[in-house]
Amino acid sequence: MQFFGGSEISPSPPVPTATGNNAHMMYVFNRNGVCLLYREWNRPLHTLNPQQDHKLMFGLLFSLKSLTAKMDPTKYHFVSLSLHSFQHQFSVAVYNFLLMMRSAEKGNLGIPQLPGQGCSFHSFRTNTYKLSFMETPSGIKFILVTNPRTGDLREALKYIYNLYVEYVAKNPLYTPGTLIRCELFNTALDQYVRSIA
Amino acid sequence: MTSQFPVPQNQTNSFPSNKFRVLSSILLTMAAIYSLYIINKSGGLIFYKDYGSKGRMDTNDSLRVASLWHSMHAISQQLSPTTGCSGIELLEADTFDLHCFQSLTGTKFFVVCEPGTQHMEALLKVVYELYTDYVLKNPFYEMEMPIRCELFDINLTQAVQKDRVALLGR
Repeated sequence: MQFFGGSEISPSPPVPTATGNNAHMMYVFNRNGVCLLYREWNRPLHTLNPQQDHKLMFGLLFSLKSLTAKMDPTKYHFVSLSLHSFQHQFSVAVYNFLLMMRSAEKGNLGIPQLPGQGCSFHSFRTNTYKLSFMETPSGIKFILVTNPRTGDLREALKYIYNLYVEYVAKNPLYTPGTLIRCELFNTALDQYVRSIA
Repeated sequence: MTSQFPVPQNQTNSFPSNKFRVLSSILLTMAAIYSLYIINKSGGLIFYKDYGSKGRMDTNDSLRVASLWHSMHAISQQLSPTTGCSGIELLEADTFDLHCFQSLTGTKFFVVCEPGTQHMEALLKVVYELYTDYVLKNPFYEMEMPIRCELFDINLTQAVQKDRVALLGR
């Protein structure tokens, strides 16, 4: 499965992780938070109107991304080691600068990050659903909500991204940033989602 | 003479325990668990312990992260496609997993660990048990306030240690 420049959809879609129709819904957002696509297969509960729902979903993803970037336990360890060795005013200034760099690298909560920057999450699970998330380098976010017992869907989301590239991005009638109204994409997506989840 | 300088009777006997000590010390530095948080029902951080993650958060950031988690947990319930959702139980990120357990009273316990670490739900239940035993039953503890109980700290350290030793057995 390639991420960039695939000239055709990869011949073998990822192996199904479970059987039966467990997918609930799917969202596609662009980097400005516009919901380009919303598909619903099985959703008995609607708590909000669609617009509010999309906004809330995008907000949740945005905040979770900034939370995971902040929490990343593998980043930065060199600054905090050596405070006691700094003696002079100058060194304190350097230390402050390093601290500033550190907070910039790790991201402050609520400050937007570029796609691919910082540590991101790829799924979360509650007792009633599992949400899988993928962000492309161009900032398009794919969200698939499925049954909580579904396995890892990262490959599936990459496949869906390939479908998007083939049927939407390469469609001459499609203007980027507008709602996706491509019959072919919808049918291919429906078919594929039915097979995976 | 002999009582002053006791010589080990059998060298081979002491070897396995030495090996175990070395192994467990390696394990302790491996840090399967990065940190543990407890937040009260209104999202305030009442306990935070770091188990050797590289980027230790300062107090302000840990408070912010805790209350942010509280709201994310609530929003995830709103977005559920079916009824009866009780919030995020597991968040999987590139470099860590976050397991969350919410008690009936709304206190949330969450642990940040290495991706793919098993048995974290059990550990959170144990932490909850310790919380009820050594924090809630402490007559000097005020509800919803930061936890400062020595017994809780001691037993928590033991529980986490035990969890790491259990990992060795796998």
